[in-house]
Amino acid sequence: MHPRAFAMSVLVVALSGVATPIRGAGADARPASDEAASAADVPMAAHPDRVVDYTLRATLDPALHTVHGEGTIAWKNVSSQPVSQLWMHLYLNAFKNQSSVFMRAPVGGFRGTTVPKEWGTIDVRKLTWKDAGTDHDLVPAMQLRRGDDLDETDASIPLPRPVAPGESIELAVVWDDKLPSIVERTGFDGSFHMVAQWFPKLAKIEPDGTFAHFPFHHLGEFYADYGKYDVTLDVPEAFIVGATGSVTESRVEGGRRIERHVQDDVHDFAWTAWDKFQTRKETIDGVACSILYPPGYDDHAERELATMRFALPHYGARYGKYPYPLLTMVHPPASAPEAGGMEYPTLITTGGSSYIPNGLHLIELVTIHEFGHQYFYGLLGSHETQWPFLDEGLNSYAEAEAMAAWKGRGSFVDMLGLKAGDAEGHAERARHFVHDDRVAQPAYAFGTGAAYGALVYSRTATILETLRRVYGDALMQRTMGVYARRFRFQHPVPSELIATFQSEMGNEAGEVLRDALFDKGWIDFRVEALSSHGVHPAAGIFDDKDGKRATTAADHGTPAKYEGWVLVVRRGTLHLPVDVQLVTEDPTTKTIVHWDGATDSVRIPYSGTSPLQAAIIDPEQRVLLDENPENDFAAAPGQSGGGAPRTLERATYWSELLLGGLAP
Amino acid sequence: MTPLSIRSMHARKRPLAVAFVFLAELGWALLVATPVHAWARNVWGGRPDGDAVLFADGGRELMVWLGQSGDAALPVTARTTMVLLAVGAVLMQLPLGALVASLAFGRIVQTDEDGTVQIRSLRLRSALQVGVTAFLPLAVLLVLGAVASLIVLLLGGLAASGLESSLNEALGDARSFTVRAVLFGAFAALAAVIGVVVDLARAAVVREAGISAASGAASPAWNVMLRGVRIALKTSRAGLGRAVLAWTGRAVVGIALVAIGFVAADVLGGSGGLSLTLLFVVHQAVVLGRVALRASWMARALRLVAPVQDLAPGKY
Repeated sequence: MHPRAFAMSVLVVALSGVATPIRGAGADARPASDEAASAADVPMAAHPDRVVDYTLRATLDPALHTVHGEGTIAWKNVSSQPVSQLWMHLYLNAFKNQSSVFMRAPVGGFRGTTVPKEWGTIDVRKLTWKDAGTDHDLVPAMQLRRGDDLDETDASIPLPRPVAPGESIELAVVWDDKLPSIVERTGFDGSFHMVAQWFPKLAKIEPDGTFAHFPFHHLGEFYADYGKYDVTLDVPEAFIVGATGSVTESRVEGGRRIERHVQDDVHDFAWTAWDKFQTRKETIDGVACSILYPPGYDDHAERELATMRFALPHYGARYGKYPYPLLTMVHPPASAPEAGGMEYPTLITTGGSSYIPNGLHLIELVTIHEFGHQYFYGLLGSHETQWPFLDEGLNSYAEAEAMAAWKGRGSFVDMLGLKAGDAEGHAERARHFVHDDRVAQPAYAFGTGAAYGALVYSRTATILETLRRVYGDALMQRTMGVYARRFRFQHPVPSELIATFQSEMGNEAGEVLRDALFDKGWIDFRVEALSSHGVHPAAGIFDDKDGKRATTAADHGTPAKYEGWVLVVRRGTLHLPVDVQLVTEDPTTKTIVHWDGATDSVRIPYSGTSPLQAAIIDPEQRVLLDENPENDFAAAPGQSGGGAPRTLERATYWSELLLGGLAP
Repeated sequence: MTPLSIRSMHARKRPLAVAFVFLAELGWALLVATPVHAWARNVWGGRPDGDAVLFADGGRELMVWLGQSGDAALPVTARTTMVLLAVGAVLMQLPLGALVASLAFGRIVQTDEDGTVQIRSLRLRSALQVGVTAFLPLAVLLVLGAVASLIVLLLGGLAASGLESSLNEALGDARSFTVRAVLFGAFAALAAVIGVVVDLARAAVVREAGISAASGAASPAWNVMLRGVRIALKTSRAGLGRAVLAWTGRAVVGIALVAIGFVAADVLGGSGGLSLTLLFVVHQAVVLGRVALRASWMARALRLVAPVQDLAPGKY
């Protein structure tokens, strides 16, 4: 290998007494990047371009589980082309029958795999466009199906005339929902109603005049234009309502509770109503947080509020201040778990069964994940079906980063002496799917729900966490902060994410990100071999310049110096720098070599006062992408390593307990 | 070999027997731990710090190790360990029988002129002989007791789950879950009571086997077990409350000891060297304490069954 093929710096710290890590405070500390500027100065939009405004009124019949809706949709053609037909999402029809795209998808291993006990539908009764004094009825020409496909979630609506660029129109709409028993995210369970994807929703128009329309895919989520939602909800008086947006009017009339919720700058609206909700409210970081939860779940409510006490300022510092005045958290009843773990603008659903030990951070994890979607979905309105990693993946990274910042190395589990991290859990989950599929592809392209979950959520999180650990926390904060601020209230695409990484973190990091996302990029470091030997003066007969002859005898004593090498191999397509620790018999010396990982292998020379004992790649576990940590070390010939005494001790003890039984 | 008086049946008088059971458990536990230890050593033992990485915060290597879905070592190790545990649970009836024998019997070393007999502990060989005689009935009792307890727990689980479902609408999730936990707890308590009765039967079986051996009239194992069960049931009718109370007190102390073991592991973590040695000592002290508690309980069980057994020898 050519010497220039790798850049390597050898750092040797010889200390008297105890060896000290040369990089100080663990995996987070990277001196070179700690000087990265904060992203707080990056300007971000205060509001999005308003494209569509919904003014709706919805009446819930909790006995029949129906919603009657009516209202207006004001839409502006913000594209550069005239538009002669609209596209409208009718998501609830995904639960109409088993012929919908959603229900016939042969994917398991993810949420929403059961057949609903009661089917759900959305029927548009009226859709008119009042244009130049004429009411055009658009329903007769509306096309719910295409060809033989019985899916009715993606409707086309031919218009009587094209809508010019920049022109606004207003549609009057009347519709009826029959909510399904909860299968995925939306529906009812007893008197609990989670009403999401519930109204006729215009597809997002792209700059070229096309609509980003699509059927409701099993693994896919949503994509829409920003606008204002002004929604009046009408439910029985005994029901407590949670919804997107602030309450601007609230009254009780004739046994009905009527609440008007208004929210600007969002791209969806969801609500819930239940006659058993308990409520708690607290203002956190200037945001009015409220939580709706089942009776007896006070502990859960407190844990979720505690999560927000940490998350709101934490996310605000990293990704820009949360711009809305409120956040509503909904903990669904245990009998409706599929309603949980979902995000809507200013409203999230959490979840968790009756008893979850404090050391198992599931409640905190779900809460922080769904809140994170206020950024990676809400404020960064990427196409969730086309590029799911842009919301779920980035959000899973943000979740793991936040959980580690809050709970430390036991951010997932911290009980019974076990500390397991959320980021480490993502890495392990993703490891088994690396070669199966690309991360960056549409949700419907994944063969299984397990692959979708592992790659979109966990692999993306692992890629980003690796970049954070390798290039430093400050630089990562800066990079993600720039991305989150620059594209706030926009609809970013993957190339914009990668470009941000290239500009902020460097081309190498940008390439790693691109390869890992689009080309199933992978990496596996391995210690191939190592060796060292004592250096003795050369024995034999030597003539000096003056012709004097001297004989040097072979020295069989203990050498004062040792030389050797470690051969480290990088398999895979990703190039990441990594540290290699050279372990010697001298506990006062700790040698760490930094290798840029640009080539396929490196032979690291060793020189020291004691024999080389072993080599450990990535001792501080920065490269979570490393496919097989089991080959990240090797002992020198003749060295046996430390063995497994801890495992023997624990296994023996547990066996004794099991043999003896838990009680006498 | 002679039956001891009730006053003499105490675990504190048989420290060597307690130590023997402890060592037997330790020995078999080392065997049970061998496959998982060999696996860990093979994968991680080459590191200079050995398997410390498996106990490191974050748990990455631990997850990687246990998550090797394509690695045959995991199922092989798991199954081997389970088989060794099951076999060990049965084999441990032998030292248990010896322990109970040493609690129930002594040997006459001298008869004084005034007729006073000097009684000492059984020799290990004699205690083991009784243990061997009682092994089969004890093993059958172990299986029957475990099956009965599992059936009770299974029924408890089903009943508690069903009750929770039926009350869910009326009481809500959290309260109905509490009802479920309470009901299942009641079934668990019932399973524990079954365990207490089985222990009474164990005491009676070993005592019966010892008496038979001492008299030279060996009884078939099946008869010994049946008599033991009958004596246990008769004892239970008269004083189950006292037995359960005696067992519960020791159970609480035993569980507290296990908790101490957890705390020690939490505090000392994955350290090696002196810390690991200290943890080993603490853990073994926990196990020794639990063996002593078990001996104490079995002595109490003997004191409960002996009067019933002696009341009408051969009746049962």
